[in-house]
Amino acid sequence: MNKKELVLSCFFLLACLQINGNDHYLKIETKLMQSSWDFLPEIPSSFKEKDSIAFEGRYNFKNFFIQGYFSDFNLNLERNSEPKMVELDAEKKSITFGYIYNENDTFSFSSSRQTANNQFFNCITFASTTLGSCNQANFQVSSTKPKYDQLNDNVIKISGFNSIKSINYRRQLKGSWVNSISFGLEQTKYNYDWMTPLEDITSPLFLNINLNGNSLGNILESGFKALPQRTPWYSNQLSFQVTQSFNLNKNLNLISELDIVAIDLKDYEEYELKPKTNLKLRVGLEREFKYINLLLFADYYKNNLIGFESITFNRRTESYFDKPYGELGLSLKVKF
Amino acid sequence: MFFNQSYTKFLNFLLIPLFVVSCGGGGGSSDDPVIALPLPTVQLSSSATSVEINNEFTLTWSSTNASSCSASGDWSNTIGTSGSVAITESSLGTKTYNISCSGGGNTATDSVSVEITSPPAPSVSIETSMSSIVINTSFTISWSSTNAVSCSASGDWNDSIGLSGSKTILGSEAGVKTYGVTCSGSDGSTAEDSVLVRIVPEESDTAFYGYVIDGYISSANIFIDQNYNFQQDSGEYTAVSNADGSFVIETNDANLNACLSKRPIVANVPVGAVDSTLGGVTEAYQMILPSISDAGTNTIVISPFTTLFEQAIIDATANQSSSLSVAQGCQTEGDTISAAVTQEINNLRSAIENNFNVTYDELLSDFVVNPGEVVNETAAQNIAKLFPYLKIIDTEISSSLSSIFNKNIVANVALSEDALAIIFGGNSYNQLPLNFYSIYQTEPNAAGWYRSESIEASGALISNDGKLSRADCSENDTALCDLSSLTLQNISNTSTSYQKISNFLKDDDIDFTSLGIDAGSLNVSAQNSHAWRNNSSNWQTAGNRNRECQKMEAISFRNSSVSNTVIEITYDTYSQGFEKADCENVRHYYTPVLRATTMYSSNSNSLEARYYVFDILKSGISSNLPYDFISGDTVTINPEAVVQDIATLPRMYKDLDSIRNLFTGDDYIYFVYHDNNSEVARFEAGTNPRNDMFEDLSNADVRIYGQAARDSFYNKLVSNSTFNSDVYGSSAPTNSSIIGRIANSYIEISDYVGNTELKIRVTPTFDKTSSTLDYSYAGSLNLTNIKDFIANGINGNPVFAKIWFNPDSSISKTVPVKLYLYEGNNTVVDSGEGYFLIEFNLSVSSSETGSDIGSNATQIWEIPASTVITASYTQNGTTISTQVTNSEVDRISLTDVSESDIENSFIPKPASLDLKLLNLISSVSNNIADIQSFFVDDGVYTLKLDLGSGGNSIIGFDRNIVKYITGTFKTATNPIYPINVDDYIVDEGSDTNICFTRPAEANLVQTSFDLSFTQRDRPGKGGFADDFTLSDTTVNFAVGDTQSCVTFTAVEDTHFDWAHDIFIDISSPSNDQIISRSRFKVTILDRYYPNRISWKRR
Repeated sequence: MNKKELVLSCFFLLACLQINGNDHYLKIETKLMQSSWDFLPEIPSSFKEKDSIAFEGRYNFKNFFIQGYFSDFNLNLERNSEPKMVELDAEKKSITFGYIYNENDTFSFSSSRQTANNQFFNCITFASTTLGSCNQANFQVSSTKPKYDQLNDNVIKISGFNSIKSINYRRQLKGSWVNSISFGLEQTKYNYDWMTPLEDITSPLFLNINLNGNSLGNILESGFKALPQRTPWYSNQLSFQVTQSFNLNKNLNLISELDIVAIDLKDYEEYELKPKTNLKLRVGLEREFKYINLLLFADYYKNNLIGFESITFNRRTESYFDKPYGELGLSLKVKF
Repeated sequence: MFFNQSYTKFLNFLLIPLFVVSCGGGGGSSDDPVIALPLPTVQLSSSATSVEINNEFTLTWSSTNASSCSASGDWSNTIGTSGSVAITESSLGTKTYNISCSGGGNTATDSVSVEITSPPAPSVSIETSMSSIVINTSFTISWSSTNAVSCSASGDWNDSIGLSGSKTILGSEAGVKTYGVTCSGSDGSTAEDSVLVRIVPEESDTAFYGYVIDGYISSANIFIDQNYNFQQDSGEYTAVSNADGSFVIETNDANLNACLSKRPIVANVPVGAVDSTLGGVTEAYQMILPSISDAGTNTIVISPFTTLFEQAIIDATANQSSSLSVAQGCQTEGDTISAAVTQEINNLRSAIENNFNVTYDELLSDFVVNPGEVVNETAAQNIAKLFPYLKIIDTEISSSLSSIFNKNIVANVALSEDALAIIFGGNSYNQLPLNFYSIYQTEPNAAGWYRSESIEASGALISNDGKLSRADCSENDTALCDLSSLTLQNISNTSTSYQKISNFLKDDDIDFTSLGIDAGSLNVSAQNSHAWRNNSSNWQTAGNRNRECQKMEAISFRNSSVSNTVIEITYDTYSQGFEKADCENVRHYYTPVLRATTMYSSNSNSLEARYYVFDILKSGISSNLPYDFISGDTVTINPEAVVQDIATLPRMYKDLDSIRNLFTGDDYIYFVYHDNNSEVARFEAGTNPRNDMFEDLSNADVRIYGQAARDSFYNKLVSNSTFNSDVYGSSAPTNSSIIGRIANSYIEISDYVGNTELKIRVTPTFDKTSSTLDYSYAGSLNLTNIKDFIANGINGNPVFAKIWFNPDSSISKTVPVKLYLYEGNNTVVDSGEGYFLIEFNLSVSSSETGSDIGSNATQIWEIPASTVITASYTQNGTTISTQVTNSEVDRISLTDVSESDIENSFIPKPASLDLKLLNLISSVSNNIADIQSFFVDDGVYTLKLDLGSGGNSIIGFDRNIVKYITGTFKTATNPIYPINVDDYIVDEGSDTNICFTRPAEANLVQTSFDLSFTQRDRPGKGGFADDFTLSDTTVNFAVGDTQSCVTFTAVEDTHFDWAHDIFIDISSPSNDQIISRSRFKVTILDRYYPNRISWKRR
């Protein structure tokens, strides 16, 4: 079963659930982006497509609730230099414990872990010098060291995961044009690693090789700096969210959500730039049934996905995070 | 008599006055009257001039003018002046009778001689009507004499007899009776004669009666050899001979008697036995009668003549697996041997009767009683003289066998049929040929192994005084001609043909599961063979093969588990030596041969794969080839492992490539194709495919080489329907991997000091395990030149190597080439070290003019345009590489090295190589200095040419298959140039100067170093200390010297030592000089057997 079939099956399953209840729910949400969609904002040119699916479930017990979340995130990039094709595939799992102070105020605490699948590249370009095993490589690089056996014919492997802790306060604002507001504090720990035999080129002979006026040693040194930082670093985020819902008719609502995050990076060794904030705006139509909410929405990000998909950010990708990003989504929520 | 004396006196009386008167009147000067008296005369005569002694004869005399006469000489007394007298002389001789008569003062004399002779000798002869009778029967003896006056009887009769007559006698007492007659002649001389009459007792039906005769021998130990081992075993019937040589063995068992009548009867004649003719026996010996049944008579005579049939018994029992027990001797086993003995005896009997005009009956007869012209007591004694020496030899061989098998074994040495020709040849002789065949075989042990030991010798001569000699001794050739010690070694050396074979056999329970074989016969053998050929003519002349000593240990396995096919696998370490009288002095060189033969029993066709190993220590065919694997009575290896080793070797023609890849050095294979058991064609292949040789035996003078040879043998096999593609493959094999052969023992590297070119010779070493030829250079190269080379290519001051190469004539393919340059002194990449690698494909194509051994080959090496050349550098396991595309073809053409212009016959360099190298370097870095920096002062680097990983190779000068070539060198701003010495090849019996050289640009200080020899590579090709001499073991260089030489003399010897290598070690020189090598090699080519291939060319 591929991902598309999985999504459709889940939607169908949830639609079939007719459980009597109130604040308990299950939700599935999928988001898509294709670079060919003209209506999107001017996203980074290398972003070819992205899709994700998320499952969320919540169960209330008196004034408490517990909420589970799982998402699978897949971003495909197409670059001009090696590696030209990049796939970022990451899974995120989180659990949230909440306290319903009253019918308007809710507090919650979340813990998440997002893990990216290992990335393997057979070539990598540093300062217009391509190294690896691809045909375009200026120099083929390989290693017989056992530790590189896992690379097969690739020249580099990149791995990473994030740990996220957050607290959130949410308040329902009845009778206001704003449905709710929420504040949150979030700390993310970034863990990245990579391995490449390029690091083992230590011979002065080759490190001193002159390529277009630059020594191979300098090229490698610069290239390594553009790879994800190996030592852990942290981001502390302050987030604010406002949601609105406008009833268009009996069961159809126009919803909007605005998320603003302020980001403070700690221990991060900046390569090119360091985004400070991001903003996400969601607009959608929500159709309410007795136990089911169906939401079709579009998301706009001012500075790409930083602050929202933390796995996407590292030293290699930071250059993308001063550019907007957009995608479409569909959400089905079943209450019981 | 009286009348004669009276008459003489009267006559004298008458004549005396007349004599006086006539004298006085005739001129006397005296006035006295003279009366002239007549002179006396006398005449004496005999009635006979020759008279038998004691016979009378008469002397008669007469005289005139004599008054008296007297006799003297052999008669005396005063006699009358005439008369006669009868005389009888009693002694022999010439008798002289003198007479002297006087008258008138004068005397006359006369004499006569008479020969007194002996009377004729008497003679007598006696005969018997029967020489052998049964007791109490009669026989008649008759006698006659001549010139006898009386006769008397003697011996076993004492009758009064006449001068002739006959008498009938009743034989009443058993034994050999003598009836003699003595007759006397008239002079008292006597004549004797006698006859022997054997009076045998009344015979028992269950007894054996016989005689031991040389003369008649008493006290001999006689036994019936029931189990054919020529030994007196417990339970065998025995007797001791009587004074007349007779013996009786009573069995009291008719059935047993019937058996024993077909078994040999042996007489052991001990010291102390008495020969009726010769007296006491001083040397023990043995005589044999094959059997009563084979003798065909009930008269048993054991004599030297019957012993001549002993070899027939030995031959008949030769195939007996083990000795019989006494009981078995009269069972089926014994009967089987008996039948064989009868057959052998019949054969020998026919041969004797047809060739020597001697009847079988004569040989078996009592030649004392009935002596014949040939078969008589004298002849028997001549034969018997040799028996003690045969017994000594027998004991010598028996002891050898007994010690091997740890049990008492009798070898049974006997006179052979060849000796009969001399014995019965009619001429006197004092030597007989010593021919014998002795074999002993055990029963299988628990593991199924059994053993046989045989010794066969012929042609040595043994004299009747016990001296051994060769057959062809002469005044000028006395080696091994008078050996009094009858040792096995002396016997083996004096024999014209000698062969000692030890066999260890296993006929069943073979378990070669890994080969899919569970049955077959396995044999391990050791064989020593000595031979004198062609009457030993010129055997001491160098190169003559008329004296040969051979030695071989072998393992063979034969299996027929595959239907219609027999597979025979053998391994042997055959070696030979010539010109050595004593084979113990032969130095054997091991050249094992491994044979794997597939025989097709349907039509007797076969293909034999015969592997030859010339260097047992370095062969690539197998690393576990045994030698000297039979020590005394023990096989010191596991023969089954050897068989399995051989059995896994490829043995079909289709496997030629894989076979060749097994080889190192002089290894080679010989395929022999038999059609109907006859060799039809041969194909030989060593490491170098260009030397592959086909020989069609129907046209033996024509030999074809190279691919034409491979094609021809393939076609030959294809033409026989017995074979199929499993034998010869789908097409003729081709050379698909070997590019050619290095044609010189060294390469020559050029370096420069300024513009002065230095030529540095480097002699390689070969590592068999890695198939690597190593041209490491102990000195250093000029760093500046190397950097210049990188910057400017060959057109600068090139660091260049001359390599001499004979290309293969048939290979055409793409050859992947990898050229490595390592940091460090080996190809192992240590921590911190890196290496360059350049990879490209070389297109090789070959052609040839002619297909004989003198053909010329041409080879084209090309790096075609568009070829991708990959250059890489690896350090710490990390490889960084780049590729360049060859813009235009690079091509060089190679031809065979010109022996007349070797200096200029090295591999040429392509014209554009320098440019290509510079392009390659520039593709790696924009800055040449970066690459140059790879080479540093006092840096150590190792080059490696890898052909092997692409499945290709070349043949080294020493004929090893070389897959990799390496060479370690140093770079230095101020390089050190070592003292160099090459390898040498020298003919045995010649000498050569071994010259050590150093360039004039080197540090020419005083130095010296020592040369020493340690025997190595034995039992491979390594020589011995006595193979050579050195004029000096210390090499001295004075200040400024660039060369110092010592003379190496290859000692001429008679060893069959092929090409043998002398490795001479060089000690460290003084004054910090260095030597390019710690050891060098001198290959000595044996005078007549240097190798199978010319060393000069391919």
